[in-house]
Amino acid sequence: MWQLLQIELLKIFRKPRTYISFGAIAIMVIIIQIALKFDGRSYIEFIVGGLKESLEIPYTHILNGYFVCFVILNLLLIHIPLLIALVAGDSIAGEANMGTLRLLASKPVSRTGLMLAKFMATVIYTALLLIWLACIALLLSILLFGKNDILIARNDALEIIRSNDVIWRYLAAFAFATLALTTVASLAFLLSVFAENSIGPIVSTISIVIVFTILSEMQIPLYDRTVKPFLFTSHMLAWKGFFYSKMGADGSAIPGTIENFRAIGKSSLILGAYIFGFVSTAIIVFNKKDILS
Amino acid sequence: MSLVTVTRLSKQFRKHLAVDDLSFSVEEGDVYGFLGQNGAGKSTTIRMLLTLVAPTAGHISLFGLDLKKERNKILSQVGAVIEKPDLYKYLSAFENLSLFARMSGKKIGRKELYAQLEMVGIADRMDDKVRTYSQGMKQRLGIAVALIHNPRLIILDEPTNGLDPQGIADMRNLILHLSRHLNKTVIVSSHLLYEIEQISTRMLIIDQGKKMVEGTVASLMDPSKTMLEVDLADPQTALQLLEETKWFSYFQKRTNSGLLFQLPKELIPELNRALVNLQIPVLSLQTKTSLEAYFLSITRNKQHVAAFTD
Repeated sequence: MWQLLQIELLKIFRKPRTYISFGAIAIMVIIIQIALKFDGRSYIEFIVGGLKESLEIPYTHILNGYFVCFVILNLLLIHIPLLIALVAGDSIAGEANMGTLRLLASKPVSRTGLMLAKFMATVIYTALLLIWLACIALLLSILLFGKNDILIARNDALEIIRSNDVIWRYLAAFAFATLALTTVASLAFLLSVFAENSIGPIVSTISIVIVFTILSEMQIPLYDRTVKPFLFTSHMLAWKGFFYSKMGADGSAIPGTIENFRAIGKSSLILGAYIFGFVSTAIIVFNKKDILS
Repeated sequence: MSLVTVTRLSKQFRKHLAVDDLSFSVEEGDVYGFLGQNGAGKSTTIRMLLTLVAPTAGHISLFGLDLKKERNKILSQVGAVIEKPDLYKYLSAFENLSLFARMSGKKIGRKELYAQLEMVGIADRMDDKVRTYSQGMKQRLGIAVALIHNPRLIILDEPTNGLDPQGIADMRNLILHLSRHLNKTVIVSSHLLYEIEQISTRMLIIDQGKKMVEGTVASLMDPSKTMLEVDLADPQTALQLLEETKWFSYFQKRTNSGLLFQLPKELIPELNRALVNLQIPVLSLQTKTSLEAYFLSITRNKQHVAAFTD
């Protein structure tokens, strides 16, 4: 299995297409950082809304590396699935299109082993993409903006998390984001089994994510109870929960706490179930598939 | 013991029966020709031998082992080029070969990889990306991939497709080399009779997924079945004149430019004389091998077969 995984990683990272995602993320992050560096005040005013009239906002303190990273994650994590689909959707269909699938499948390795190696390679790619995002969104932002307490805007209030209570939240958020994006990767992986070129699964994955996201955001009571809780897109943004602390009696955030850990756990389980379902189905279908490409 | 035994193999794709109750066996050391028109079921059969396609019915055993039960053990002793030798274009020849060598389950060192590339004649360009290779070079690399783990059985599906005449000759020599000097068993499929006839020791002809004949090439070379194509200025009139003679019983069909006969070789001069005596201007006489004649007689679309055996 380790040998197969090494081979799959070699194929992913020797393909020029793989680096489109890394390049795209770097460009988007830097664009946001430049915008916030030159006009971060307007963005903060937009977040605090009417509170700026009643409170004295310490703009220079708020605009720090931790805050900028939080903004970047908010803006980007919804779009990164599109980049994940580029590689995951190509994993089987791309091989079928190139004609290499028949060569791979006629080697003395089980189809299940081959699929697991491909999926694990996709997960590693997803994790590396997020590590890359963490490096440039968190480390570069700290370098450019420094460190300080982080201001989090919630539905009904503003929350301030102390700077010494932030890093573990980011690590947890990136770990959760890896799980969320792996769900998208596993969907693209499943669709890839049915196709003979990678465009189909990539476009289909993106379409499904868009439709599910729209459904997740729709404010229709019937769907709130029946559909939304089961859509994976409803759970993909649960990483924000790591930045919502329990509040003390004085209304300040209690360091080291998470307001609703249960909800994050539930979202993790649902995403895990989706991953298991998508990957198992992909393996079953691939094991029965006649390779005619 | 047969190296490959296929028993009552069938494959149905929805309403299309691609392979129909096919049985054959390949002996150790054979160069086994697998001949049939495009769409006859050759590639489907080969894909079933390589577990790419699941049979609807039937049984396959290789090296005395059940393919279904001992898949990996069997495939570790098989090398194959299936249709085009498609490889990773963004990797070099060396990287491609190394990658597939690792998948074969055997430890293969750098020296062996280099030796293999040298054997197929692309060692000097082994670090170049495959996307820069010609079709012939890709085919050679495909062969290197098929041979790198020293398999007992080599399966080549239409190996000369897309090759120039020199490439075709090289491929033929390579197959003969594998068989004669390295004692490999080779299954080679083609729709080109000439190709199979030149290299095979035994052969199978299939049509519409069914076995038409299996045997040694020599046994199929029946001298009583020479096919003669006679080019004539006016084939229609000639046919009318011949209708009253004994030669009409040897007549097979009209071709684009004349008439096709099947007759013993020694009767050819006599037929020529008869045509001249009937004042039918003969433009040319062209014999086809007896195997061609046989192929023509057993496959369904004779007009089509005649076209691609010319």
